[in-house]
Amino acid sequence: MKTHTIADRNVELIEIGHQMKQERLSNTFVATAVQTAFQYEGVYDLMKMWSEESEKKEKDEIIADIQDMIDECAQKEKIEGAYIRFDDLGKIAKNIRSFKDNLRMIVDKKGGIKAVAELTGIPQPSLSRFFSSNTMPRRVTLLKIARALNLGQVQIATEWSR
Amino acid sequence: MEIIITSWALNSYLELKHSRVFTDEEYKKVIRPDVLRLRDYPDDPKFENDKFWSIAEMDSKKIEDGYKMKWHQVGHGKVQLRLPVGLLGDAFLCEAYVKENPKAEKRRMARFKVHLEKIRRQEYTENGRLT
Repeated sequence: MKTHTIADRNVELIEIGHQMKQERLSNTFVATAVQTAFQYEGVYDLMKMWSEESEKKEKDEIIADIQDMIDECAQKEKIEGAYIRFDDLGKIAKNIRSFKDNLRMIVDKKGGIKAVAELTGIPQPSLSRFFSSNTMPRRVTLLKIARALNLGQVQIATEWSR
Repeated sequence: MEIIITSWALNSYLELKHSRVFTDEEYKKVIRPDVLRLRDYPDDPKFENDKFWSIAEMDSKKIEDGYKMKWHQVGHGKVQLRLPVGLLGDAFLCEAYVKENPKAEKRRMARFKVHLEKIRRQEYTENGRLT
């Protein structure tokens, strides 16, 4: 059986990066995805899944997963976050929903998710997941959206970002 | 064993709670007590039940330090709930999810592999401990 060396894997990743580029994913996304996959086997797995997948919907989900992992891998230290009681989760989720719905209205007025994806370099499936999920928004994503749409701090201010 | 709530677990609970995947009663009477069994891992006999606890795998390959806690017929939608747990000295609760199809399951396991690596590298967020 042929041994799959690290060099083979890295070349494979660069090839998948080229495929991603051909499918019009931004240079920023492709370069960061490949770089992250060099270091994290789970991201390599996702890249490979993407290259072997033919269904558009599933490919989009994989792209959103890869962007999530890129954001998570940017954290380089342990952080002590706040403890949240189970009984408060419902209230917090509603608060996050309302924040994202308001931000989505602003985005829609300024050209919609497609336009923001082009301006920020964040893949469209990732932005769609950002707006549809009830998880805490990442500050890095909020800042990219704010910069792209020239929004003020108040418009992206939320108690529940991470 | 200490039970660490990571930010991945917290955010997945936010999603599941908002989607009403499980009821508050199910959480308090079933899910939480089951997760608390990790304090006595591996002595609690429920860990011998492979319908409740198993090694995490991807493409039939074991994921190092990765395990899954499983519940069946949860909530009004009667779904299968999964909680990936990393056992690395302490028990790290990762991203809970509703089991969908084999492709989604494979993506979940790829994410779990990244989360386990982040824990090993001490590059994660802890949102308290379950006691």
